[in-house]
Amino acid sequence: MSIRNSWIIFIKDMLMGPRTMMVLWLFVMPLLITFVIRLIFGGLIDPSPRLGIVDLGSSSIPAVVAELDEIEVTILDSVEILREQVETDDLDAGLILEEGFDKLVISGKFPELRMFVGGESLASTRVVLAVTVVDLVRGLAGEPAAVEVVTEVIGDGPTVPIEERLVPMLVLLSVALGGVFLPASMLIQERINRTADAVLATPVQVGDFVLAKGAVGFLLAFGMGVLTLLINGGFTRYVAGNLTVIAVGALMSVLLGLILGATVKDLQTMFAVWKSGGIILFAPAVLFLFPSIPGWIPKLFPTYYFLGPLYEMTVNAASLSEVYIDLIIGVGISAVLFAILTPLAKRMEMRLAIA
Amino acid sequence: MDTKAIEVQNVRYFYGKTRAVDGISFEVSPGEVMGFLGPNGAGKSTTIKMLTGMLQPQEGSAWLLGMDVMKHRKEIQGRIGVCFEEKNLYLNMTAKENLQFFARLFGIRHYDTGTALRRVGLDDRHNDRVKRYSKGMRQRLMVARALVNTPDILFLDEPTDGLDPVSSRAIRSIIQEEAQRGAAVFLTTHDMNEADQLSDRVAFINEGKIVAIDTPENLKLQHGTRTVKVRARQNDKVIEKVVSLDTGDTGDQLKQAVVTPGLLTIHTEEATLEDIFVKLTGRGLV
Repeated sequence: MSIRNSWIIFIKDMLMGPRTMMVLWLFVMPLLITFVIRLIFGGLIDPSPRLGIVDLGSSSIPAVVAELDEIEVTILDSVEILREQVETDDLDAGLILEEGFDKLVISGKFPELRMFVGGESLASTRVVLAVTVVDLVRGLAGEPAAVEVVTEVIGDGPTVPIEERLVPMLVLLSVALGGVFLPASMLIQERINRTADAVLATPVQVGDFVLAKGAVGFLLAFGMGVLTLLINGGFTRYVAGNLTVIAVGALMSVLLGLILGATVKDLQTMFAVWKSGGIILFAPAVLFLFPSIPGWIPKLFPTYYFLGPLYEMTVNAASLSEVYIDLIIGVGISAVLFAILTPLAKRMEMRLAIA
Repeated sequence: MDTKAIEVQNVRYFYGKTRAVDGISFEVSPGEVMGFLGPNGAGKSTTIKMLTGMLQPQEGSAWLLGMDVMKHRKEIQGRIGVCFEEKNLYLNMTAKENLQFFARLFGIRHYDTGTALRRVGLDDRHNDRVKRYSKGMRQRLMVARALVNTPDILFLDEPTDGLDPVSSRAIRSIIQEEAQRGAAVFLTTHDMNEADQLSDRVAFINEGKIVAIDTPENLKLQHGTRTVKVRARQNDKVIEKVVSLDTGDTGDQLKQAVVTPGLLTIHTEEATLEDIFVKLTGRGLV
């Protein structure tokens, strides 16, 4: 094997990539799917309610509101500017605290509290802001809450929001699309167009050739996996661990892609295999969406050994030392895939010659 | 003793029970153009694949540049150029990028693509993607690619098949230049005239076996009929007379022919390579 030869082919493929629809599709598709899924399940365009406050005296309310993570507060100097910003939908609502407001509330009087509400703001946002303001004023007056709300979670599973349970699925989608499709399609195209013949008639060995395709796939799979995790806010403080998990996933995907590319006849067959065999790849990610399913079932699927650690890290903030056993199994599966790939690559070279 | 560029001894290759190449032997010297002629399925491409290291001979031995092809495959591939029958170029790359890529694979860092493309008449289109090229332009680029590493042996598989006369002429001219440079050229073609013009020697292959191998002249002498056809106009009719060059009174007959009243033309009637191929194999070349 020659790293130099692989590097030359890798550079060629990287430069050629943007000129092909497949690469552009593989780059755009995961981001598009992330966007659509986040749109459906929330998290992407769920901004915090935006409240503007003009304090004409020295009320304590702005400081208290500013402490609330769920509300985005802007302090303004004049009522005119506040009105203008609510009108232009830069703010969902605007609160005007008159001079001496706090004193009047504490003394038991009922001062007027003016609030602008933007016509384009969401009804839910208006309710949240109104309830928050009433709650703050009650606190200012020293009144206890009329009721104590006790929350009770229904269901046996862990209380992990759906958008967090979706993260492994989205990362897998990015990693698998780049890792499986790209090397597979590149190998198939080079075989169909017979350009592989030309390359293999030079000092390039079939191993150099396959390694280059794998490297391109790995780079895209890893990059897209990182990007997807970033977009979904999945990175934890164990960044190196997060990256290691994605790297193992990218490696497994690339090896699967190379096996596919070395064996299937054409792109149509590749898509057919993807459709029928994709369930094996995605099964663990789907099973994570249903916490009531026994934990041993996802472990039957090879991609679990990248998705399991990813789930533990992104959802349960586990460190690398807590998931390393599953990751080692993932690396072991990759080694088996590599052992399968080696003779298949030789067979591919032979098939090219006799075609 | 000079090292032969190609030495093949009793090489065989079977696809299952199908006999593709069945015990062929030949040699090609540096600077020699060897025309390898035969119909489709005769074993030409399989022979090229074995000589270029893509297929391993099941029997016999093939040596290129003094090295066993299968033992020194990559070393040999660094010193040969292959122009495939199929136009396997990177269509999304420009001509310049195609050549630069292959030059790098041969370890050439700064390849002069301008000169290479000028040689095949593509220098004005060097930045166009190959998918916009015509068939002839692609074929010329294929030849340019095969020359990137200044090969000691050049394998050309049907290099002018279906091309326009201008492209064919350009490629033939390059083949002659390469042979003059000292490269051994192994040429497969259907075009008998091309083989006749370019080849120092030709080999006829049929059903995996070489049925004849020699210079075109010798093959014609051995297997053709030496005659002269005389045409003359007499009494408003064109008459033809065939004079054999292998009879005792040939001289007298030719003298008579020259003074024939109303003489129109005198042509030698050499057998073509195709005639000889048909005679030897009982089948045509296509």
